[in-house]
Amino acid sequence: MKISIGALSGEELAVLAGIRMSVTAHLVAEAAMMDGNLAALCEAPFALSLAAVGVRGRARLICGDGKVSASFGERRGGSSRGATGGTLVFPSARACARALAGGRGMIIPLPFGAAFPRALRFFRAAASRAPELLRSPEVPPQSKARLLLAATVHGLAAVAGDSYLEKRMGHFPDGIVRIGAGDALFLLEKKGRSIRVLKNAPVDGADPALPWIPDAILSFASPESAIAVLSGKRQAVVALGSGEVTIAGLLPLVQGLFSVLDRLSWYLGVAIGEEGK
Amino acid sequence: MSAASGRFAKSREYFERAARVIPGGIYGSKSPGFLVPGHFPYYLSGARGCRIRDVDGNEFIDYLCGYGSQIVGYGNPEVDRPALAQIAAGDLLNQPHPVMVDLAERLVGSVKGMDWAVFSKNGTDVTTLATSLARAQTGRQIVIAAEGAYHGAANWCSSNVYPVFASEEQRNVEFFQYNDIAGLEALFARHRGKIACVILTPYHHPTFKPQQLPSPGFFPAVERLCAAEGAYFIMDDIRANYRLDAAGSHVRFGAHPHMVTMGKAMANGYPLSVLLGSKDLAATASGFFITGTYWMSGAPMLAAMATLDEMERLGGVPRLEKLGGMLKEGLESLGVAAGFGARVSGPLAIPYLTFDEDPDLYLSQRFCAAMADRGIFVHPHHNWFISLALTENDVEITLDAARGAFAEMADER
Repeated sequence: MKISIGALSGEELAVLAGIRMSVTAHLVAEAAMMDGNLAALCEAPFALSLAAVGVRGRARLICGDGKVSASFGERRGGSSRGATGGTLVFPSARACARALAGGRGMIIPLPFGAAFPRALRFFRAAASRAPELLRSPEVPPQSKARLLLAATVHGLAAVAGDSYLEKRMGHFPDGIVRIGAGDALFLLEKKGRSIRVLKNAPVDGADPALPWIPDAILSFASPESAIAVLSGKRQAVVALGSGEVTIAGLLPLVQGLFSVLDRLSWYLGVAIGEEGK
Repeated sequence: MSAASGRFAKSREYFERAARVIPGGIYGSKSPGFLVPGHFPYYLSGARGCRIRDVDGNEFIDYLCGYGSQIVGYGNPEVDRPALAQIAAGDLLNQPHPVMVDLAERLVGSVKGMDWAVFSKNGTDVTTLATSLARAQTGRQIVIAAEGAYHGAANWCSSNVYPVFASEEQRNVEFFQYNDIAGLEALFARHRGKIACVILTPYHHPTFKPQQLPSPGFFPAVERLCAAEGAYFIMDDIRANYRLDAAGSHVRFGAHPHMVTMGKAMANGYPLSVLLGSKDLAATASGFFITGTYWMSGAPMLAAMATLDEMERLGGVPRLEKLGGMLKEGLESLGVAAGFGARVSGPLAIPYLTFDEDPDLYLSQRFCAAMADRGIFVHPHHNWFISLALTENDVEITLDAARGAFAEMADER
């Protein structure tokens, strides 16, 4: 049963808006690395934030040295190195969730300097290009898998603070999980009630001669497997049974993340156009 | 997926079909992800003695024993004969078969400190009934349990942590660390006048972790606190029963619970569990509405009577411990010789191998996969079980396989 956005509580709307902002920003940043036309829009620096009234976190896109990086959270992430740009403010969590899911929603642009038009041009192009990349037969499966993995891990990080998950998050162990397909690898750290995506393996003071090993590993046997599972076309449990997905190490950690993934899927399945019905 | 996965083509076919019509394909503790997919079968077709056979025709020496329910061997004729005869004569009847009286008398006479018996089918049935009786008797809500202990799949004790359960059934269950007397005292102090019972396993056997025996002062402290508070002490002996002491595992550790739950090995795999209780709970139990359509079927009770005889005939706990000791000593010495911190924890009849250097269980998973490749079924995340169908020769075969498994792991380092 698909839930309508009109049925969500205020807290759920804020969580959904946070997920949408984070996933969008990270997809946009990944898309910029894959698409020549988007890369061309990143030649000069800019900074762009996505924020929504009533939502504590904000997403940030920072372009410098021809690269785009994304972050989401309450604190400032990355360095804009003086780049100008602006903020796209959604007047409510609901407007944010609807607009970033492809529906209608008011956006208030707040420019901060001359780079704003450039930032906006990039964002508009990249936000529409990312879904096209996922659909395009020309895009290699490995690239699609990377896009989907990026969306998934950042979605997990954004949904983790949902009060629905409070008890559940306390019920599975802390640790670092490596999630990947081929060379598309992400590290997720679960600590208490939070999940964050790590840029690098942590240096923990252990014997430097020993290779660092995460607490658990979730691997897709191929990019195609990752795409099938992460797009919902194949049940994760079936893929696990058939060997398309392997898990190793601290299994309760991975199993706990599956339950967070279920909650993320619930949010991403919210129907945006059925208010009042 | 390993090259070995071709061994399980039929298992995988069944699983693909199952996933379309059964949630998760195989749900709960038997799901493929709980083992090491590619190295273990998903579907078994039969078993005899201590050997199990999968749908692809692979055979394994089994150390999981139907999650502990097999104690005198699969297809034991002494157990099966009376049970199958009763099935042919009529098993599930309108009224109980008289064997129910015989079995109740036998259990009350043999399990120390117990005065009455109520039968059902699963561990969850009787752990839930035990906590319900304690609540009814005391008029209090709080149940205290050890963190990581498994007492069944009902909402009050399961890992299904959803807000709707957390706010109701799970709200009245408080946890402490097994053996942590100070932690337990703190809970009693915090919930004075509200505690109905403490439910504990005779020793701590959490999944994914080494097993832990009770410290010498632990059960006396539990009993002292329960007595002072007027709370009941429930011993959940479902997993360990008849592998530690024929009079109940509490006897092994000098504990004196008010209620004991048993199941699994009691009927050698036939569906049967029992709640045993002391006199002061008899009136409450008599007034409680306790029922289940299948709870009084006769064949499992006849199987239980025969299993109790057969355990005694085959050497009982001393024999289990002899075989378990041989396995423990062999595995630890082979592991250490190969350069691993292999450690077998828990009672000799219910061993579990972990590696000191690997709390995340990568090595356990690797070892158990390598053992399965060699025809030995040992679980990487759940404790193992020794059965009386096992022989010294089977343990030797197991240790030979372990030698190969450790060597393979050492080569990979």
